[in-house]
Amino acid sequence: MLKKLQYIRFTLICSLCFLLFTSFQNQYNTNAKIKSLFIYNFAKYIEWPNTYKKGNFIVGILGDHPVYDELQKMAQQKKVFDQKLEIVKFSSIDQIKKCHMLMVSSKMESKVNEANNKIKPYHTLLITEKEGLGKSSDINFVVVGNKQKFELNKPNLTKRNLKVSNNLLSLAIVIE
Amino acid sequence: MKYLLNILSLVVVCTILSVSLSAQNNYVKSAVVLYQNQKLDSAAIFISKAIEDEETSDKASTYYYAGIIFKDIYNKREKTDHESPYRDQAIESFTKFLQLNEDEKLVPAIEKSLTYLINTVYNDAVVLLNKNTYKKSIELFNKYKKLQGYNNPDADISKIDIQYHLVLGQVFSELYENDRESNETYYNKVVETYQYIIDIDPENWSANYNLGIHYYNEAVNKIKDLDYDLDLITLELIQDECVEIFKQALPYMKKAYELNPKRKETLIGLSGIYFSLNELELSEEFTEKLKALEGEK
Repeated sequence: MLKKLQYIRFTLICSLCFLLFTSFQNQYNTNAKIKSLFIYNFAKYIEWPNTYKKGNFIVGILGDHPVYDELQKMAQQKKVFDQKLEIVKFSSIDQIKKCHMLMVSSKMESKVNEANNKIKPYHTLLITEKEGLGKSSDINFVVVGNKQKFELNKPNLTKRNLKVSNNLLSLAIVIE
Repeated sequence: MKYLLNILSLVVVCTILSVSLSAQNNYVKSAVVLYQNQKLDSAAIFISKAIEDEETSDKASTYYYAGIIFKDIYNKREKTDHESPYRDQAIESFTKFLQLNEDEKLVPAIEKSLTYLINTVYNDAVVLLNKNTYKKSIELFNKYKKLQGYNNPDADISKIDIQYHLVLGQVFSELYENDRESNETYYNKVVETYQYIIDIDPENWSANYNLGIHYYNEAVNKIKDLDYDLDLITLELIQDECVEIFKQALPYMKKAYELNPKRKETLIGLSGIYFSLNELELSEEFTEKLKALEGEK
């Protein structure tokens, strides 16, 4: 009898140990998913010049960033209007090529100015994710009240000949 | 050997029974004789009649024999029946015997039998504690608590209560995770179950940790499931909702950390919650603590 009770208690303890290990499978980068949704909305609510409306819609990522994997998953299912979504990783400034958007990861923040110079010939939307970079880039992810928001630098976008819809402007922290 | 022991115990019981039979009426006598001859069904019928009979219904010995007969039937035929009526009747009879009895010599043996029967109720509750039969399990566990409280009011069953509810929380959690949309009610059941444990024992590491993870997983899953076509206004609302849920997770995970700062799971949990709340410095702080802990090993 005692043995049976001990066995049952042992089973209970085993179940608890199992619980501790199963709970971890949900480790997931929530910020990357949210940023990828913002990026997809930028693609829909910003208008590029006509020459950019043909071929693939290219999103470049400078440096390692978890948003790359999220965007890759998205690219398998979604298009930007009629354009196929293509996600490209650039490990250095030299590798940067013509693209619709270029996201500079926070680890590469020191390279923002160089990246900016590199994309000057193109109509590329420059995205950063560091407090204080809103003036250097076109869109800068910031955290407000534990949430992801974005700063939008209107003059910079105008310089690049990119048109922003009012819908997007109404949700942005606009830098005039 | 087991068979010989059974025969021996039967002889002992029958000897005890025959000594005190003279004072009993026909129903009890018949029940005992039938029991001696292993006519268990008939013995049960006669002892039930004795319980209903005015002459014997207030005699301790009637319930003594009733308990023995019913317990024997339970052991022989209904051990796998979680709703065994004979077990219930045996428990009821032994309890009544202890209320009426004045002979202290018989008490230890009956208390032992009663404890055994009550423990089988607990065992059944544990065996049935799974996704398919948890309702029956809860019913049996509550019955066990009630019986235990009556049989042994001084016994502290809080440890068993906590262990049981920790597994119950896991069962509800699995049911919820299997189909979060259809099984929404289990979300609250998980919260209620772990909160129940924390109310009994606020220092319970597992309950605090599991509740923290439950909230954390909920917010993570909401974000993970977001549709790519989601507009920014809805995204803003969902972010608000998720921030609130991550904040709900935080005090429980912090408490789990306070209770045991050397558990890797809590460091990972806190790092994850702070990361999702965009408090990256704090997230990094716990990641570093985790690295340090792993370096120690």
